[in-house]
Order: sequence, then C-alpha cells, then structure tokens
Amino acid sequence: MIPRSKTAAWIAYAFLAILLAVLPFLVDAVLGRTWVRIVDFALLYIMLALGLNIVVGFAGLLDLGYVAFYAVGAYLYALLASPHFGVHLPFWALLPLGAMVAALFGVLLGAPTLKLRGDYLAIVTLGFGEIIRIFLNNLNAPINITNGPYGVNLIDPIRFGEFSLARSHGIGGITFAAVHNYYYLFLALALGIIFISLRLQDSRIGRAWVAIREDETAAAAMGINTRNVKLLAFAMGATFGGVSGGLFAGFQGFVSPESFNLMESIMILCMVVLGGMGHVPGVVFGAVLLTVLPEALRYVGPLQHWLFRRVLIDPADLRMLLFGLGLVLVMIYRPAGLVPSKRRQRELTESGQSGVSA
Amino acid sequence: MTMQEGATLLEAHSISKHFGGLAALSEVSLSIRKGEIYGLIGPNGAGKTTLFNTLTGLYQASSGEFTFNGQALDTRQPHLVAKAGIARTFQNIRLFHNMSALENVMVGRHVRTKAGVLGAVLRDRATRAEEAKIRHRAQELLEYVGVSGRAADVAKHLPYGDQRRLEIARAQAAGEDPRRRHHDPADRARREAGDGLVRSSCGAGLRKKDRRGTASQRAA
Repeated sequence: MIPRSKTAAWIAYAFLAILLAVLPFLVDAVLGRTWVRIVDFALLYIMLALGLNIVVGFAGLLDLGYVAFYAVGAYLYALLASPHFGVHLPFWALLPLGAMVAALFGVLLGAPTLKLRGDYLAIVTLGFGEIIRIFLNNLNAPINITNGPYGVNLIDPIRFGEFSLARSHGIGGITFAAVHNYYYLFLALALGIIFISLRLQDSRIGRAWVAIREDETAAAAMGINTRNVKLLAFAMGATFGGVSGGLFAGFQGFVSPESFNLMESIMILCMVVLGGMGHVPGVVFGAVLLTVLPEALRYVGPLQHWLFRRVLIDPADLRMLLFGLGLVLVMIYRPAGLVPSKRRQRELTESGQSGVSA
Repeated sequence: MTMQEGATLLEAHSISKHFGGLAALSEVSLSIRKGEIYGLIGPNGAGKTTLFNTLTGLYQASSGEFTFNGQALDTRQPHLVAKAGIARTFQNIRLFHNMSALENVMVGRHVRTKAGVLGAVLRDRATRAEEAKIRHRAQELLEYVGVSGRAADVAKHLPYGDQRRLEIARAQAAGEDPRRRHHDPADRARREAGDGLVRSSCGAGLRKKDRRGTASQRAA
C-alpha cells in the first residue's frame, strides 16, 4: 500500500495535497454545499476521534464520556465570544484556553478513576459525561450561566482580524464561501493533530502508554509512573476534544446541551474502534466513514420513492438499521478495525497464545 | 555518595505482611551487601513472592521498613522502587506481549530517560539523541541475553526460555547507563544495584553468557 520508492511517495503526497486543497470545490460542484459542510464535520470528527484514540487506543482506558471535553471546549468558546455575557474574546485566545480548560477537566476525570480498569472505568466515565451535560442543561438558575436547554446563540464566528470565516470572500477571482473557509482552518488543525498523534505514538511516552495497556503492574515495576502517564493520556485526549469543541461552537454559531449526549460519545468511540484502535490512519478513516455514511444513507428515502413510488420504511429508521448491521458485520469479520494497526491485529487474531497476560 | 566495597545495599528490617488474618510474612529481616548474590528458597506458601512483591513496592508492608542504598523505600509506589535501582522479573513472566522484543527492553529504559510530550512532538536534537541511545542500549542488552536475533518479533511469539531472557534484559535496561559508570563511582554503585535483584530461574546457559558478558564489558 505504501509506495516503496521515495519519488513515488512524494508524488503520492503531492497528489493527496492537491486533492485536499481542491476538495471543497470538487464536493461543492458535484454534490452541493450541504456536502461541503459534511466534509467540515468529518474533519472535526477526525480531531475528536484522534483525541479519544490517545485514551482508548494508546493507553487502553475505555472512556465513554469523551464528549464532555468537546462540550467544555464548545461552551467555553460560546460563553466567552457571544452576547450572552457580552464578552467577545478573539479566536486565537479562546482556542488554547479551551484546550487548557479541557485538559484540566481531563485530569479531573482521570484522578479519581486511576485505580479503575475496563468495565468499571467505562461506567465512571459514562457518568462523568452525563454530569457535564446535565450541568450545562441546568445551570440557568439561580444564576443564568449556560442558558440551560435553550443553549447559547449568536456565537461570534471565527475571525482573523477583519477576515471573518463566516463571510464569503473573493480571492483571485475565486469565491470562498463560509464552509470553504472553515474547511481550510479545520484541515490545518486536523493535520496538526494527526502529526502530534503520530509523533506521540512513536516516542518514549507512546511506549509507556502501550506498556500500561499491555500490563499495568509490569509497567509500574519497570519504573513507569502509571499515575502521571495515565493522567497525561486523559489530558492529551481532552485537549484535542477541547480544541474541536471551540471550533464547533464558532462554526455552528449555536451550542446547546443536546449536541453533547451519550450517543455522540458512542459515535466517536465507534469511529476509533471501527477504524482501528491505536492506529492513526485507521482512526482517520473511521471518522470520515462514520460522518459520511449516515448522511449518505439519508438518500435511502428518495431512493425508495423512486423504486417503489412510496416510502416503505421510514428512512431515519432504516438508516440506523443499516448502520447497526454494518457495525456488527465489521466487528465479526474485521474485529481489529477496518484499517488495523499491526499490533492490534496480533492481539485479536492470536489471542490464544497470550493467555499469560494476567 | 561513594559506595564502599561491601557496604550494605539492601536492608530489610522486621517486615511483616498480613492479608486479613493470614500472616504471609512475619518479622523478616535481611541485609545484602554490594556484590553479593543470594537465592531465596522455601516451600510453597512460605512467602517468597510476597517478600519480593513487598520489596518492589507492589505490596505495602503491614509493618517494618527497608532501605536500599541508604534510602528508605517503604512506599506503595513501584515506580519509585524501580527508580531507586531495584528491577525485577516476575514468577509467571509478565512481558508486554504485543510489543516487539526490542520495544519491551526500550520500555525498560523509561525510568532512566526523560523525554516528554513536547520533546516527542518537536523531536528536537536532545530527544532524537535520547531515542538513539535507548535503542542502542536495548539492542546491546538483547545481545547480552542472546535474543538479538528476534528483536523485531512480538514478545509472545518467543519460546519460553527466550521470554525469560527478554524479561531479564528488560529489568537490566532499568539500570543506569553502563557507559557512564566508568566515570562516576556513584553511578556505578547504582547501576550494579540495579542488577542486584534480578530474580531468575535462568539456566546455566545464561549464567555462562553472563560471565562472558561481564568480562567483555570490563575489557571494553
């Protein structure tokens, strides 16, 4: 799959770069503007999935409340850049701030769960995700902080100086619509997060994470400070979530607790597991697939109408049905994910030989 | 601190460990001087493993204390014990099964290296140099225990004997860098201390290798 010679690799990269550069215009021309928006969301989910991948894929800590960090980032941006409090901080200050606050929440979640593993950790993290959502839902009385279930509206769009991403700009005869502008910003940040993930994976810290996943007791006996290294995984994962949250708030212009429910956490986890846990290209693929697929399945309704002249099954139901069926099939036939890492593949295909792990 | 030949390295003072009503260890005292090699024997259930687990921080002693290299280590933090220089293997081998043999030993170097997130992301000169040294030392140790031919193989695919050797190499990796011990007597002491408590059921083959390895290292 990977080209052998160096020139071939460079040609492949150059081709990929050109494709990524013209993608929004290509999609716009062929499928329409709605789909450019979906591509933007795919990039957002790549960042989220890679954040969760650090916790679940690298360090092996099952986190079912990951969306909480996304919510923290989004609400931080929403509250500090909207008429709600009358505060309008600039984007370049809010994004790092969101990342830091989310990292703090990551440590807050990580600290009490250090001794928990597997199912127990999953339950506690699930509870944490719900606590954040319920807080956001109810913090409108006695003092109105989050505006409760109505959410925060009229959030400032992301802008660099006078250049607002929410407006169309004509540059060199080409019109860049809002979704196009956001595409390039999201692409840059997603590439940055992919880069950080890859570098972390192949480092002293990355090895420590895998060691903890494989055998925590042995890792501690080899001198790895399991507490700090686990907290670092939570903090790093949460950082990516916080950044994505800020971008989401600026992009949507509106946030409400509805967007950060358990279903969202499960979707992000599915992206990681389906794509290939602990494998960066796999996770990216999983995120794109699970963002695009549900949208594509919307066309099932019109298709039925065209085929049978009436809608036999409600497209919303059928969509989830097909989606669920797809997940089950993938888990049966490719349990290590669609694009698995070598290590993960070994774990799942030859687990009979590793019975000594306990 | 300079270590005199024969100075006390590990000193345990009336260590007891109870599991509920069961007294697994009662008033164990022992003292090991630098350079000494001991074996711990006893019938099943005598508490040998419990003593090792206590001395490496996996268990917290119910009472008593122990010092290593003059440093009190009655802690419940295994990583601090490893940092002080006590490395261990396990009765039922506990390797990182899905990591390669080389990676297993590289993890052993964790406690003697310090690259963090920033270093990992930026991959600056210091981090690259450190990574190269980790890799080099790991390869050296694999050669020392005779598993270098299978460095790229996954740990769980190695035969039992090689897995044990690999575990010893991993434990040794947690010691100080041997290139530095020639210059610094304190480092040397710590490094040899690190090799001290390798609990092993290794065969004569490894011991022979051990002698050869030490001899060649001394010659170098």
